[in-house]
Amino acid sequence: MARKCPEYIENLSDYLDGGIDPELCAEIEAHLGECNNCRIMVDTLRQTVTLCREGKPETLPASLEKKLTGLLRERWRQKFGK
Amino acid sequence: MNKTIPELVEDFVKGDEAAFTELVSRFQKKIYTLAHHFLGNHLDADEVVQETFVRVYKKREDLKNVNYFSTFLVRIATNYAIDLLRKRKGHRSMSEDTASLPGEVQLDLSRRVATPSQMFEQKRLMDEINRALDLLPPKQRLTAVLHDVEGYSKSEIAEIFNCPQATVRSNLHIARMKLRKILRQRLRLKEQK
Ligand SMILES: [Zn+2]
Repeated sequence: MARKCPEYIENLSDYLDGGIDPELCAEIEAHLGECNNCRIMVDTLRQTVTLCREGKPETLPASLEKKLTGLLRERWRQKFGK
Repeated sequence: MNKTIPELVEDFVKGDEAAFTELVSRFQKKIYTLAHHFLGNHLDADEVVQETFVRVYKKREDLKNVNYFSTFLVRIATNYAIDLLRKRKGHRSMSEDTASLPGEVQLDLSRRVATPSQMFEQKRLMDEINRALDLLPPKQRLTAVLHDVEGYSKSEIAEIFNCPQATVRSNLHIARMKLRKILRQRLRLKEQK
């Protein structure tokens, strides 16, 4: 009846994102309580996602934004001649 | 008063250039950030922004049947970015990127960072993540960028790629597992107990 580790691992992303069936969620949590490998897996997976979020740089500088708009207008005129 | 996006889209489809310009200015930042994350350099990101809006202009008739302008836009941008990535074949360089910006912009970039050590840490982290993302196939990479970096929901991504949510979920999971493996070696993620 019990699932094997790979089956839990398959679902760890969904588990982290919270979009998972409550029954499966409870089952995963019970498994994490007793399986060291899966616990390491979920910890490192969570840290990976956190790193991606933290790595987000600030949005483009205002001066660059203006330059882009200007450039686009110019292209617009060249392409569609207006 | 500011027009809503659907109002602007409606005017744009009718041929109102001012409405188009307004849409460009509201969405260019979003597309730029996304393209920069995906392609990792300013020049390519710039090209994606320009080409995306040119394509939107050409396809404006299609907008009559579109529910969400931003999804339509991001789909065009991601398709073009994938093409560009294939053309470039993963060739990119962070330092080349900064060097290619005009002086004024470089100043802006250095001003937004507080201390040299923070700058170093942030840059190192970005480099590590970009290098890790580089190793993923385009669809997985874009899914990870859209969801984990940009914060798009799975249903939005499904809409963008025109695929089932289950596909998004599995691509995301595979991408994260690969990223985890790469980042674990490079950044030595803590493994407690
Ligand atoms: Zn296990």
